[in-house]
Amino acid sequence: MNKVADITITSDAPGARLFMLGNEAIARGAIEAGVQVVASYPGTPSSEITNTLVGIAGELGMYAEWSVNEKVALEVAMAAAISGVRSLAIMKHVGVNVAHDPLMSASYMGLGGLVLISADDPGQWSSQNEQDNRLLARQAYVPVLEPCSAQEAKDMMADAFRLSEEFGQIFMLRSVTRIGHARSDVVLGGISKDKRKGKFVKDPFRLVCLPANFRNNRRLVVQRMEKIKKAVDELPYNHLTLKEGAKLGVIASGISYGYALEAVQWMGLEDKISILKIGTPYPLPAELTKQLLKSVPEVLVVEELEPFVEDAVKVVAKDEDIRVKIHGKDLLSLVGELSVRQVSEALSGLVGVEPPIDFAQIDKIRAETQELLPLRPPTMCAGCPHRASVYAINITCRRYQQETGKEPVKTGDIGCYALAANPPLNSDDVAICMGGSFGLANGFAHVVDAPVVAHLGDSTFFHSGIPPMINAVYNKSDITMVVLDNSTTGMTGFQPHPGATGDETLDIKIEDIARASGVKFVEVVDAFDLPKLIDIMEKAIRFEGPSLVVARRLCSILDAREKRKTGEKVVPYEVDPEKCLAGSPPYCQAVCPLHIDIRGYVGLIKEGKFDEALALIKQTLPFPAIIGRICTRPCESKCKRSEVEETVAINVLKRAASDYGKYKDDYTIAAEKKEKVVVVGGGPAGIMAAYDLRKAGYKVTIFEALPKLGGMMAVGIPEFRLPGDILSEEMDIIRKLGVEIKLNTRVGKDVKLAGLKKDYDAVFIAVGAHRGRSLGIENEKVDGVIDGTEFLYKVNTGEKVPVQDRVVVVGGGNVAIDCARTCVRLGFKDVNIVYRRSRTEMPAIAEEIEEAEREGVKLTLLSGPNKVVAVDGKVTGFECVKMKLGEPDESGRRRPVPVEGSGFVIDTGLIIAAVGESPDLDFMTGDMKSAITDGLIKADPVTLETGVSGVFAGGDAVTGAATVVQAMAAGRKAAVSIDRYLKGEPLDTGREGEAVFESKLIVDTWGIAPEAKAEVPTLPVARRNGNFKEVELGLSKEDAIKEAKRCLSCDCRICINLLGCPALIVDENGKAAVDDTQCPGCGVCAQVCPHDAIKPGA
Amino acid sequence: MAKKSEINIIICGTGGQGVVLLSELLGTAAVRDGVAVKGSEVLGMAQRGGSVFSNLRLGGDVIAPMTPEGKCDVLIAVEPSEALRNIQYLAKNSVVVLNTTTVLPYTVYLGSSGYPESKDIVDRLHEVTDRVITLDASGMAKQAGSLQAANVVMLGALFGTGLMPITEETAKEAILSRFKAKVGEINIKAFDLGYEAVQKALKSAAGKR
Repeated sequence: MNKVADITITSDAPGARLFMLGNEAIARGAIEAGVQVVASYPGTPSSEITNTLVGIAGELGMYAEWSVNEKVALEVAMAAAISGVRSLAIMKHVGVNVAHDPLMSASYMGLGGLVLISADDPGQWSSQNEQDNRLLARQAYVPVLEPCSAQEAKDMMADAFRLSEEFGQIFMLRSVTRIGHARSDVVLGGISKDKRKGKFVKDPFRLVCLPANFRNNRRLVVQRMEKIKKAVDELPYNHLTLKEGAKLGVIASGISYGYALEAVQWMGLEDKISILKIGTPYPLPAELTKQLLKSVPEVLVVEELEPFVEDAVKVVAKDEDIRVKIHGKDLLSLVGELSVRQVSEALSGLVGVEPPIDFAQIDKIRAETQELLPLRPPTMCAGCPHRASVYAINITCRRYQQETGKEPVKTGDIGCYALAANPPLNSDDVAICMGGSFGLANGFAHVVDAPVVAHLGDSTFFHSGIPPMINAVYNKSDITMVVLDNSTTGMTGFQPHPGATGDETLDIKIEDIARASGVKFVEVVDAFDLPKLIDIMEKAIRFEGPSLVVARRLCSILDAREKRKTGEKVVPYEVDPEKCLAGSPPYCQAVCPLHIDIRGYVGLIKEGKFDEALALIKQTLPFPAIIGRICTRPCESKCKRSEVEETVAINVLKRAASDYGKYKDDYTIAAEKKEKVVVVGGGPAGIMAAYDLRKAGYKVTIFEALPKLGGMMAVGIPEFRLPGDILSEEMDIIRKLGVEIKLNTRVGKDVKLAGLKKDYDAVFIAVGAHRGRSLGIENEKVDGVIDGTEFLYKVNTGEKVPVQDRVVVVGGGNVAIDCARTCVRLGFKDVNIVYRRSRTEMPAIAEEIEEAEREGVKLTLLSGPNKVVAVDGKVTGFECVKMKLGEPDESGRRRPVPVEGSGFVIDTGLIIAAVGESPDLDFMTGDMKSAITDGLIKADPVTLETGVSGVFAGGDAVTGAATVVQAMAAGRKAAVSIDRYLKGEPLDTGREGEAVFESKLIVDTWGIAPEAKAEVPTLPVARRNGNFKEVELGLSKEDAIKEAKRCLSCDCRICINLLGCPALIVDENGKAAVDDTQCPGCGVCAQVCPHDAIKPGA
Repeated sequence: MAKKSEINIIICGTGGQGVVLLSELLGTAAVRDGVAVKGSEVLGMAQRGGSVFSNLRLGGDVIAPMTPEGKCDVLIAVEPSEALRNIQYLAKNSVVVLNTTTVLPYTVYLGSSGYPESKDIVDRLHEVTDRVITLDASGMAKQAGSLQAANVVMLGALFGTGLMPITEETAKEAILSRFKAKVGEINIKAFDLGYEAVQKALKSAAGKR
């Protein structure tokens, strides 16, 4: 409360001014009237009236109580009024619905000295509806005083009891949010010293509601109303200001009068408009109304919400036969709060004067600004126990649904927990009114084949939750009731209630009432003990019969207050950024040998930002057009989307970025260094190492034996998968950076390795694996048996290959598929791939196998080579034996085992053996021989050192035939090692991040609607005949964006997404963090985090 | 715009920033100086991190507690994006005083809401009025000794505009009648920092013309 000098709300200082809230002014009015009994249930926008009165009741010898609900509150006030004591019942508009039953009797009985305050809420700032209780009052024959300001509210309140006593009728003071929550300086009046003693005088004919008695009361109330109708014209609250010559009259009641007056003044129309101010909308001051209606041809009833006064005015006009045009809801909205603007616009139309401001311009700016506004819905405080309880309900319902397929129905109620209805908690399926959660649940239980979980708060339980709970027992509604007990009436300002009196010995226990009512499953759990709470709820939902769980924990704001009082320290929680997985590489990025930021570039494509997506990819991979066509996509094997239907087409999207994104190559080199590095082999490993080392400023030379760069990419992969011009154009960056490229130069033949070791400061051997493995069968060396890679070389370098009708390709990897599809294009009619395992074990990319089949390639599976059939040294056939799959071999795949006596021969004149490749290491002589083991170069897996000083090796030459992306990763790794080697830094520290790993993210795919993966358009099979045109045509921009939207952007946001606590934020590093100015240390997020990353702070 | 000596002030921000307290202090000061004051705000729901709006109408003889659209003389935004939410109250001559420190709603972290760039906020406000002053009220509050005092910095800023029919002395009296000892000192310091910042901004803007 505010002080000016030493005036307070109880000061007996008539004429003094006090700056106060409207509700405080109303309380002051009650004090001035000498009210002795006050009964109320909290409800915005009325609560401050009672808060104030409860605060000073002792001082003034007043009895003020917070009743269990509005019905009881009104009954308490009625009893006091019956006993001759001035009494006041206070509630919000929907509260009057609860009190409506006794209200009718109060009206019929004729109770003087009784006032009901209805605090309505136009615009529904804090309510489920904006009912206009003047209509309710009329129905009940209760006269209404409607103030237009805090001052008038006080004055009316002070006068209401006098009026009520004069006419012997309950009166209503009807306030609204804008009055109750408005502040202004108010002139105080005198305080009544009249203190009465309550005395009950028997009067059963008036007080006992037998029909016979109350029929008489009915006649009497009608008579009382007639008297009141005649008297209101004299009240100062109704005031007519006639302007001579006025062509328009304005009638306005309550706060609408304020809007109307300001609009009239703002438009300079004070002298042109007659105004009837109404303070008693029911009964309408008929005489004043008549006077106004007769004086002008046209009238505008300025009224918020229902046309209550408007209709009554129209009745007067009709009854008195007055010719006047009456406007109201034809020009002003029925819905929401009224405003000066609305009234100005209405007046503008009627009077023909411009509105005082260009409202259309304001609307335009507001509309344009809408899109910028952040969504800022109110939410439960940080540390609110309701958050934990609702989370537990959600988990319980979700698990139930996953187990049984039935989705529980969740009913909600009115209170702070109603804020959990917003995302991410989405706690309510239906919510209607106080106690409605339990009531509705009863109904659902009898018609829906699913569990029903109903929740409401402790104050609400006592208000109206008990009858529906008993109903569930009595009518056998199998529902689960959860009472969120935070020991207060939180939303309205922490008022006490029967279960939270402030004295534990007096508190009525919810669980006791539940048990006494016959609920057989009743448990009380600490809301912050999530494992226990979830466990109990899971049992409750499966319990046959009504169950009730009390989730108990003090409101976080009250808890903070207590801690401040006792001096107990608040310990906010902290997120350990090392353990927090927010922003960490997801499944795809973790398993990508280059750790490309897939989530990032796919996320950009989602927004249509192809340029930015390409730039992001280029930060890690200089060759997206190449990789986007031929990568073996380990990322897709781990893509979480495949839990919904299929992987996201990650690689196709990479190609889309390269197709549509514009990127300016960056040729900057770090300061030129003097050291020279030689790269043996211009394949993917060599090119990547050259790129990185050159960017770092080293002088780099590549020796490549073939006439062109690219290794297997150039001579192993056919044009129809990777067009040569795209390959060479993208690789050209290294030449532009200044890498020296020596083609047609074979190390070991044209230059010696020993010489290179002398001339250069470091050597990287990346010669790949180009020597085809032999079939290991009889006759494999005859004319007509050719190695797969040799075959592809010939074709890729333009050499002529003799075409026949039939060919057998042995093998199941990409080389075999590439050979087969190449043969189709060369004109072979019968192309047959023979593979000893089944289709699922084929290492080739699945899409390539499918395309091969579409092109007519036959797959002869589970067939192993036995021998080559030759006549006169030429191949005539290929003898196979049927296989079956046995135990897994060293590669992890099931070992094929020949089936006895199942041999068969395939006629063919050409056999292409594509059963694996190994490196040609003949050039490694002298001390380099020691670096070879089992036909492969031995290199340290972390640093790629070979054991020979300054010599590094990577790619297929080290691992055996693998993939392009793994080779590139090896090239990058070699560059890091060589850079450190040349700087004299340790090679093996901090290298863990380079390896592929399994992401520890936990991403939930529950409830995601399936959406088919994009189909990549391909060249129609008929158009592929005899040519090597690129087969995959890439996605359109629109399809790429659509496909990108399937990406789940896997990340960890479990704490934030499941709780929505305002104290959980994301810091500048993308990690989850706790805002320690908000966190009260409840620890619920720590329990929800599956990675143990959140702990109490120091 | 405003009629007679009527001056309409809108104060906005988020729940927990002390917007309501700011209006109380201002109202108390107005009454002390004998200036008629009416205001209204929305209580209750806003406490839970939602948008808070409060308006005070000083002087004049208006009855309606709500400032109409287009009639706001001074908009004080303790949280910058909230100024945008109330842009419809502004007119060409309105003065906007903006705290630059943002409060991101949890919906941003959920991914269901964006948050405007600071530049966009100021640019959009400039579409209505030239008179936009920004200051780091939260930073100044920390300087004064308490992050909670950002609202009092903004109160000082409001007085720094020179538009108040109330004296700074009265404002400080109102502060000290509400806060005692150390807290009172911190708040006075906060008030002064806000006041000086706006005075400086107005002088340099005048100098530029």
